[in-house]
Amino acid sequence: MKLSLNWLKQYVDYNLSSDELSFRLTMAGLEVEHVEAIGNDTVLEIEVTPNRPDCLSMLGLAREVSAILDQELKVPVVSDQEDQGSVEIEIESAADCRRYIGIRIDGVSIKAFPADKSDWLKAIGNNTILNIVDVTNFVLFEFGQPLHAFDYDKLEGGKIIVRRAKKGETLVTLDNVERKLDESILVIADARKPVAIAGIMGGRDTSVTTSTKRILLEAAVFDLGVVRRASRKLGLTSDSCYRFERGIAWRTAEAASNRAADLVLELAGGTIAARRDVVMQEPASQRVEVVVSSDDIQKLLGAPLDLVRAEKILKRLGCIVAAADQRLSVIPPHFRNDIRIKEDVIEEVARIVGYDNLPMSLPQVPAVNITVDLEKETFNRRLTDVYVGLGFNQVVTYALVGSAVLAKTNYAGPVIKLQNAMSAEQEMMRPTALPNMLIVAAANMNRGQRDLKLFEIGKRYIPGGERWTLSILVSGRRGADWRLGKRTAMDFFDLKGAIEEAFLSLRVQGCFFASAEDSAFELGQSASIAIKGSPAGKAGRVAEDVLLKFDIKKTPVYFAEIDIEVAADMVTPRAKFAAIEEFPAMVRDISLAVKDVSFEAIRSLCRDNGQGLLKRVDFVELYCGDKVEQGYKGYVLSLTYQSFERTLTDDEVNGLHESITAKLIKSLGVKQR
Amino acid sequence: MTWDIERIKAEVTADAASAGSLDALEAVRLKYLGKKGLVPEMYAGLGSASAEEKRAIGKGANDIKVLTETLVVERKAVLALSVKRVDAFDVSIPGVCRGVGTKHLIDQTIDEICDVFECMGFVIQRGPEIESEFYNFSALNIPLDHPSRDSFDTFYLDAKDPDAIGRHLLLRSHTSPGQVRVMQKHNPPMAVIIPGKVYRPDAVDASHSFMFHQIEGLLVNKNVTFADLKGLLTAFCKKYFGYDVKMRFRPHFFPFTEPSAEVDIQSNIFKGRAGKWLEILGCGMVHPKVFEAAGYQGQEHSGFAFGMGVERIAMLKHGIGDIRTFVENDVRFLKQF
Repeated sequence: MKLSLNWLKQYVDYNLSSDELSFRLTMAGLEVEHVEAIGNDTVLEIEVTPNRPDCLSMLGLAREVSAILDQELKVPVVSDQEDQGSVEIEIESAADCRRYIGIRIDGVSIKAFPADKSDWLKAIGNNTILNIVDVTNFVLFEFGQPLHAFDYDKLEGGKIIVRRAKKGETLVTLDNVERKLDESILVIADARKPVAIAGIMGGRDTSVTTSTKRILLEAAVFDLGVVRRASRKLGLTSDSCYRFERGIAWRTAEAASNRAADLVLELAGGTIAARRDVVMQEPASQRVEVVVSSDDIQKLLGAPLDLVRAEKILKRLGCIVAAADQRLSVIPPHFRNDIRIKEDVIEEVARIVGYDNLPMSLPQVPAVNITVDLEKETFNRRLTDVYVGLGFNQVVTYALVGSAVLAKTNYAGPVIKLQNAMSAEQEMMRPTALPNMLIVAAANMNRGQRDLKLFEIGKRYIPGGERWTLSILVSGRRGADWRLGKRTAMDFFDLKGAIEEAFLSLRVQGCFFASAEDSAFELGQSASIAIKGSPAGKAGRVAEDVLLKFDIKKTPVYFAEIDIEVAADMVTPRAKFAAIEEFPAMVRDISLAVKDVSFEAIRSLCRDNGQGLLKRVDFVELYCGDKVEQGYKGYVLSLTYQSFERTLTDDEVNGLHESITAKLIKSLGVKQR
Repeated sequence: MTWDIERIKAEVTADAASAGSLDALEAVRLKYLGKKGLVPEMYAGLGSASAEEKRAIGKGANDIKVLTETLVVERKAVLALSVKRVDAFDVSIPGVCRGVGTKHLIDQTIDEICDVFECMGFVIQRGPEIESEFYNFSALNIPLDHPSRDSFDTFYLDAKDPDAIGRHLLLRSHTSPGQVRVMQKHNPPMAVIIPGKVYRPDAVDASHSFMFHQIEGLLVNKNVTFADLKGLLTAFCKKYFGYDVKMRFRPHFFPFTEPSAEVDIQSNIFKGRAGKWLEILGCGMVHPKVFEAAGYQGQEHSGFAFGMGVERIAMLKHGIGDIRTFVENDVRFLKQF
C-alpha cells in the first residue's frame, strides 16, 4: 500500500519527518519498505499484513498515525442515502455476493478532476482519466472499498445481474483484453451479457466515456474466495481485487458508496435518480465485547501497562471503550474483524506502545522437559559426523524429482505425486536419492572434480511414509596423500567399508550384505543390505546405461542407500567391559583358490570347526591374476588362534589349522595354493 | 706419574668452549676420551702407582671423563643451533592427510542454532514433511479462506488425507505443524526446537526455492510472558550473531501467535550489510486456538513460539548471494565450510 503524506495530512495532523513517521509506523506493525520523494510529496510503501485490510486505505493508515501520535482523526463528512427511484439489481447467490449498492446518477458531465486530488492519486501511481472514474479510484484508496461506475445507458435492459458466468461467455475488460469466462467466475451482467468481472475489473464497452450522461455507481461485498480464485484463473489482478481478496468491511461499502456519490455530484454534477442497497446476507456481528484487566496484561506481556493510556490508544484505533475497576470493556470497530479476544486487544495496545519499550526477562525453561530417546534423536547427527570423519562431503539435494529423471535410474516402484507441481522436473517426491546424487556427481565431474565421496542424510518418500535415508556415492580415486600409496580407483568395497565402519562406530550390529540384483546396478555387482534380518537398503555399482543417461561416461560410480530408521532401531546398548586376553595369539595364513564360494561361507565353516580357539578370520588379499587357475580367484586369509586359559602350543595350532584347511577343501571344493 | 687434575679440568673447559664446529668438538672429545686420549693414558699409568696414587688418579680420571662428556653435550647443543642437519625435518611439508570430509553448510547452520537452544534447555524434535491440512493450517488457526491455503502457496499431493474426507495431503509449508504434533503427544511443560525441510511452490531463482529449511521453537509452561519471549530471543541473537548485535521487535501478524512479532537485527557478522535492519525470525505468544487444537484445556498454560529460515541466515552470515548454491553441491563449495 502506497501512502502519500500530502494526502495523509487531510485526515491527521502530524509534525514528524518522513523518516521518523516511517520508523513509528514500522514499529507499530506497518512496515515501511520504501520511501520515495515525488514532486513536493513523499510516498511510503507500506507492507500491510493480511489481518489488516482496513489499512489498505488512506483512512485506515491515518487512523494508525492518529493512534501512534495521539492525534485527532478527521473523517470526511458523508451524506446519508436512502433507497429511492428504480434500478433493477438481481443477485443469484448470497454466498457469492452478500451486498450490492447501486446508485444511479443522471446528468453527469465530464470536467477536470481537482488538481490536489489528482496529485495525490498520481503520487501513489494512478493517472487520472475521467472525473467519474477518478472519483471511484479516489474513494477506493480513501476508504479501501472498490467501486465501479457503469455507463447506465449501455447496460441492456438497464439491469444489473450478479451471477456466475456461463461457459463460452467472454468479456473485453478495461485493459482491452478479451477474457474467456466460465462457471467459476462471478460476473456483473446486464440483461444480456457480462459487463464486469466481479471485484476484479469492469468491461470496456460499458465503461464511462466522455459522452456518458447517466452512470450507475457500484459498491458491493463479494465473496473473497470467489474473487481470489477468479483472479488466479484469469491471471488478472487489480487494486480492487487485492482488497476483495483480503476482505471488505460491511459498513465501509455503504460509507464509500455515499462518499463517491457526494464527490460525483460535486465534481460532475447531476442528480441521484435512484439508489438500491440489496442486502442478501448481513454477516453475523463478530463484534463482541472484550474485557481486559490489568492482570491480563501483566500475565501476557510480563509487564504492567497504564490502563489510562491503553484506553486512549484503543479509542484512537476506533474501539468503544468503557473503563471500570482496573478493567477495560472494549468493543472493536466494525472494520476490525481481527480483534476478537483479549490477546488481540492487548496486542493493539502493545504495538502502539512499541514492543521495544516493553521489558524482557528470561523464561523458566522446564527442568523436566519432554522425554526423548537421546540415542535415536542424535543418531543422524552422529552418523553425519562419522561420514565427515571418513572423508565424505555431505550434500543436500531436492526432495522432489521428475518422472523422466527418475526413469533414467530404471526405477519402477510406486511414487507419491504432487497435485500442483510447478514443472515436470519436480512432479513427485523422490523414492530414492539416486537421480539427484547422480546429477550432483555429473555436475562435479564436468567441473573437473572427479574423486567424489558424497553422502546425504535426507528422506525418501514412498506410499505409506517418509523414511530417513543415508545415501552414499563414491567415484574416482581413493586416498589423497602420496605417502599412503598409489591412488587407486575406489570400488564397491569402499562403499561397503564406509557403511561397516559407520555402523561399528554407532554400534549398529548385524549388518549383512547379500548378492542381489537391482535394475539400477550392474549385473552381479550389487547387494541388498539387511540389519539383523530387516531389509535396510542396497548398494552396488551403478549400471553403465544409467550413468550414460546422466552423461557420466567410462567412470564407475558406486551408490548405496540405507534406511536410517531401521539402523537406529538396531543400535546395541553399550557393551559391558570384557577382560583383555592374557595369553598370546597365534596367526596362521591360508592361501586358497576358490570358485563359486563366498568368503562368508569359508569364514563360517572355519568358525564352526575352530573348537573355540579360532578368534578371528580376516581377509588379507584378493588375487585375480594369471597365477591362479582359470575360473578361480585367489583368497589369502589370516586365522587367529587364541585361548582365554593358556598359551597354545605350536603343534596344537598347526594341527587345528590343518584340520580346518582339510575341511575347507573337502566341503567347499576350494584348493590350497 | 702425577697429574695436575685441576689444570686438566681447566684445559678441558677451555678446549670445549673454544671448539667452533662439531668437528672441532669431536677433536676435543677424542683428545681426552679417545682411545689414545688423555683419560685412557691416565688409566694406563695406574699399574705402577701406589695404592694412594691409584685412588687419586682414578678419581681424577673419572672426574675429567664426566666433565668432558658433560661439556661436549653442552657445547654440541650450542653448536647445533647454528648447524643444519641433513636429517632435519622440513616441518612445513603437509602432514599425511586422509582427506577429512565436510558437513553441509545447511546442517552446520542448523546444528549451530540448535546448539544454542539446547544449551538453554530445549530438546530437538522432528515432524513429518508430508502433512495434513489440519496440522499445516487448521490447528494453527489459519482459516479455510486464508490465501496461504491456496494451492499456489502450498504443494498438495495426489494422495488423500485418510483423516479428512475429500482433503488431500500436502507438503508442510512451514515447520509450525510440529508445534501442534509435539503438544498433542506430550503434556506441558516443554521446550522444543524443530528443524526441518519445508516446501512452497516458488519458482527457483537467486533468492527463492521450492524447498528450504526452517527451525521452529516452542516453549510452554505456566506464566510464560511476552517479556520471556523477548528475553530468550535476545539471548539467542546475542550468542549466535554476536554480543554487539542490535535488535528490534517489530509487530507482525501470524495467525497462530498473538501478539506476534518479527525480529530485525543489525550485526557486524553480516559483511556488507552494516547499518541495515534484516528480518531474521518470526515469533509470538501461542494463540489460544492453537492450544485448543492441541487439546490443552483451560487457561493454565501459556507459551511462545518462534521460527527462522536456515538458508537466509546462512546466506547472510557467509555472504552467499544465491540460494541455489546450497543444492548445487559443488565439491569446491562444500569444502569451503
